[in-house]
Amino acid sequence: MVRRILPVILIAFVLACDSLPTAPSGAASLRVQVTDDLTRQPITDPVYHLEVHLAGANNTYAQPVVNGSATFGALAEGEYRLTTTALFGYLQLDVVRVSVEKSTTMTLALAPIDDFGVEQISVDGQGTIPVGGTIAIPVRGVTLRMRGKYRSPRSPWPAKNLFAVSVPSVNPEADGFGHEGGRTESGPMSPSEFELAIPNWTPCSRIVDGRLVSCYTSADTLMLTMSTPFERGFGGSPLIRKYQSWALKFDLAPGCCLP
Amino acid sequence: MTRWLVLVCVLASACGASEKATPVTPTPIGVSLPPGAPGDAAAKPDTTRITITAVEIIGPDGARVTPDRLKVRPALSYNMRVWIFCPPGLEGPQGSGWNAEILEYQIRKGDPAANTGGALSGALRLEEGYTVIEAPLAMTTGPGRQRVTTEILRNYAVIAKDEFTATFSE
Repeated sequence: MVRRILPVILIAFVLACDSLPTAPSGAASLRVQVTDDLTRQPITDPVYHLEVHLAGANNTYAQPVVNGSATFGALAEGEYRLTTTALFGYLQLDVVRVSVEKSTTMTLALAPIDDFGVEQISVDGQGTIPVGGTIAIPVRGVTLRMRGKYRSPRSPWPAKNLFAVSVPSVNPEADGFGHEGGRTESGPMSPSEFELAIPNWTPCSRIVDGRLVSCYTSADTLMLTMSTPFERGFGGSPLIRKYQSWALKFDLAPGCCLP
Repeated sequence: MTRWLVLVCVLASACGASEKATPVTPTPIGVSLPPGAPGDAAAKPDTTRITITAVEIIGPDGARVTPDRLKVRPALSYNMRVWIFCPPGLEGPQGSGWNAEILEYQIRKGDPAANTGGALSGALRLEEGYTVIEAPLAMTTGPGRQRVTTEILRNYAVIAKDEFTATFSE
């Protein structure tokens, strides 16, 4: 029993250490005020899940943006490359390098973009699936439901934007993007929220003799596309396409899967 | 589903263009402007983002023309030269994914009054310094005005933009 648990604890410890700053703390500090590139106002809404990252020669740090700013205390003095991440909605256009000495304050403008992010995945009959969770795949697949936030300056509410998410295999070139047994239904629910449903989804990519083969048992990213619908006809013009990290495991039923 | 959606989008985009697409090739220039480059193509000191610094309109005689003094004939006689500056640190691959290192450009020309227009687009990968995209600029429906929009896109998000109005007369 101990032999089984020990490696897990060891791996967990190594992973935990990996996310910590990689250098001893110092005496400098940095406050980054994050603003909207168009309005010049601080971005205070926590819905965007903004994070500021600093990368120095030997040090890396990350802090969330709270009330419009990210504060780094006990930094080692030096030069840092500053980058940002967001669940959705903002893009850093500038390459930013900052020299941190003692107490430094700076402003970083982020561009508002058409974008969306998945916040919740659920499966009919199985409830909510967290990051790293497992989805049981019966023979006929599952109905995947996803909800999240979006913004679309180019195609704002009440435009009926289209949302598409695929759950590719870890190696999509070889193992594909999964199979949908019906048509995805998607749309905005409000000026900032969307939902979509993918019927009869299976983590398999090829049909051979009436069965789905090339099935995979894990995924680590979602592939997201938001489009604005054409005025006439089917389809739309893409507004954003991107990846979002979301690890999943799939437990295939015996005899799985039928298209 | 996603792949079908993308395919439909691509096909629909192709159908939507009313102007014949002309292949254009982005040309990396290097970190410095070459002799003969227009002065306004130079990026301001400390430019930190990918920027369309200038759009030149070149007449049939090779001289630069202002966009309010264009002639309808001879057709297809003007060229646009779009100057793009990429500061160090934003060149080449950015992030990860299947198209992380590829940007797109779109040049859209439209006359809302006549409900005409068209677009050119393609992929490019920026090197540090300057890149030039050359594209034809023509008015096919007679005298009038066109809104000309040039955008640099990353994953369909606009990261640089330039707009001007071209006025054509007899």
